[in-house]
Amino acid sequence: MRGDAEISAAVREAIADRSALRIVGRGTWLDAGAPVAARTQLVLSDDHGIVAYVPDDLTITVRAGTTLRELDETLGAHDQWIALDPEGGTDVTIGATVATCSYGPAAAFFGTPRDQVLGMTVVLGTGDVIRAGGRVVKNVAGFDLTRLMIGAWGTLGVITEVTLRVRSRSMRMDSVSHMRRLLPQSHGYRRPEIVNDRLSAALMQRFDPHHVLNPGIMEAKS
Amino acid sequence: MTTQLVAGLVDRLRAVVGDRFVLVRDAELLAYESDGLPGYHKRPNLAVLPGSRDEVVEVVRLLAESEVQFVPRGAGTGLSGGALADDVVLLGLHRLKAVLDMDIARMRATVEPGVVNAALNKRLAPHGVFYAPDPSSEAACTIGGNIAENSGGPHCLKYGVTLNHVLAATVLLPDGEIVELGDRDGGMAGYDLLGAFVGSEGCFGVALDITVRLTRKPAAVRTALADFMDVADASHATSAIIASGVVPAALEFMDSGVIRVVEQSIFAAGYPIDAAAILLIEVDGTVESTDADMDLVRKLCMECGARAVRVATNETERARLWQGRKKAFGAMGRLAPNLAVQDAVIPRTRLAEVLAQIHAIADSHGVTVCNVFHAGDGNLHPNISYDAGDPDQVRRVHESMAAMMQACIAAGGSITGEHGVGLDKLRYMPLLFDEPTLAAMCDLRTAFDPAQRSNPGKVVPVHSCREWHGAPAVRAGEIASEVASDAG
Repeated sequence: MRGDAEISAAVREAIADRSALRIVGRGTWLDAGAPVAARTQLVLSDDHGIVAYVPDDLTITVRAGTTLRELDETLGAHDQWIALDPEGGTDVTIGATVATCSYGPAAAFFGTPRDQVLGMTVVLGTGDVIRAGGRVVKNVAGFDLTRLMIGAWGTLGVITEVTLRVRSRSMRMDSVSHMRRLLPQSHGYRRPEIVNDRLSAALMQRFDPHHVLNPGIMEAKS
Repeated sequence: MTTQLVAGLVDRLRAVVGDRFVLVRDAELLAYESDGLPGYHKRPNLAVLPGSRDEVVEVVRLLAESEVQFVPRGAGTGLSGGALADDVVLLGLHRLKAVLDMDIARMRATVEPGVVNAALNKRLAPHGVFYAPDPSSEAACTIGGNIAENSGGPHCLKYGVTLNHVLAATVLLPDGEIVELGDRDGGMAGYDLLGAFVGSEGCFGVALDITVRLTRKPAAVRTALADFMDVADASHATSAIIASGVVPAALEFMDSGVIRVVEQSIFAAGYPIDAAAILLIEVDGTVESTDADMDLVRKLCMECGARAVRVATNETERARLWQGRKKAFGAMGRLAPNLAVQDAVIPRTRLAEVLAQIHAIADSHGVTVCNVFHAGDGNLHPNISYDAGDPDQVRRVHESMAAMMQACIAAGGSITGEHGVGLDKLRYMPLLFDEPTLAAMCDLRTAFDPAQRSNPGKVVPVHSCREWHGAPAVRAGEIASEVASDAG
């Protein structure tokens, strides 16, 4: 799959067929132990590449299928990085990293994807394409659809493009050592659980009314 | 809402909170007619001021039962008109000011929504920790209001905005249900409902308690004043510092208009009055890192044409440099009866160019603009002093503001970095977001508040909100024909 129009058409086709889609980057964190009740895969790893990057703005916009390795190579040439180091190596896609809110040791200083993503393009379960957030580092315009999608495991929308905060590699770590935060563990992801039945059901009904996106992955908390 | 309904409601509300705390007379309501947005006055039909968590719950449940709309309000310092209540109930939360828990070992504090930002930090200071978000109104604004607006402040450049410092909240939904959002221990599970709630401008319900993350105070802090004879040089210095890899704790910009008015006021901070612009730059961390970072900042400023870079040598000097910045908006009261404080964000490499555009727009509309803002974030605050009693001035101010917003959007920016959309910026939302995105925002709101009774008419233009499409079968049929015609 490449491009928002094609991805949107695939979602609409699934709605028409009354089928469902398993959304896949490179398959690193597939299922997280919970089975996805869908046979058709919507694979995003071919939809990769840098959309916009002005090094001195310290932001970058990339397609969701871009791997962390590709990001590293592009940013490294300017002595920069995104402060995300999830388990699973650098072959994982940024889309999956964000969709699962996966993080590693760097989160102790810089936070998880929820603290680092500035905006995104998303194909909702209705097939609608939305552009949430923006490309600047500070932005409170409108309700925060970006935070809603981060860690939602693709069940509210297919993340197709992401804008991230970028950091300089030459930053002195002793200038942020006092900012170290307590994390429950040094790495992990946002667990795919339903923790608030009513609100979660209302969101699913609005963003994926036909249950086409990764159905079954958000498990009811036992 | 009919007058009769309100009459019955008043008695029931009085029974909950006491007669003194239900305001209905015009003279009493006057104080609640405006927030920090100048020139707007909206009269609530009544104001109810609960004094405890249980009272808030009872009040909101009564309002839900009566299907009455309401506007939650903290200290009313917001700058986008978000707390204006136009003939609906105003729910004041400023009486809930208990700090419920300070758990320094776990680096968190739990507070009621009416706790004032600076009051919390005063309580935390002896423990060597602080709550990082520091809006300029910190001496008056409440943590509940900060959550609603996802407030920023000068030090958010390094420390992040409110969103990055909230761990959990107990939220009373507009229908009276109580839900726990987030996790006090920092765990993450399920949809990020807390992330969606922060910055929802009072449209998703009311926070009954909030658990915030605390940060250790840095070992060293150094603050410098760099002055420039050319605005563009100060902009370029800002871009150079950001690009260098130094993450200043704050990087604030003030132009000559602001410098002069601050220096003429009781908040005079010793700024050079002949400068075209000054940068207030703070670095923090270890002694070693602050020395190294400040050396680099000084070098970059001088390379960009700074006349001088003066580093505060003691805490008194440092506090004085900051006082001028923090009180700049107050000082501008000297210029004219009203001050329109704008808020927009642009990519940081576009500062010089967009500032020039803003001045050109002000000139062509015959208004005077001065700038004091969070340059490190690209978060502009063009301010226009004016007289709200003069309709022609008001018109020119509004037209120039709209043109400035459009310039920021065209530069790839946003219409608000920290003040929120409220009422003031509704008109710009369709310029920034397309219809499907605005409709999705409405969908997010109605998940929390299906009846849209909490802070009605704010943030997203009403015409953008569509009802959820009909039955899936019908919808599928429509889609099938669309797909078929696309294929053809």
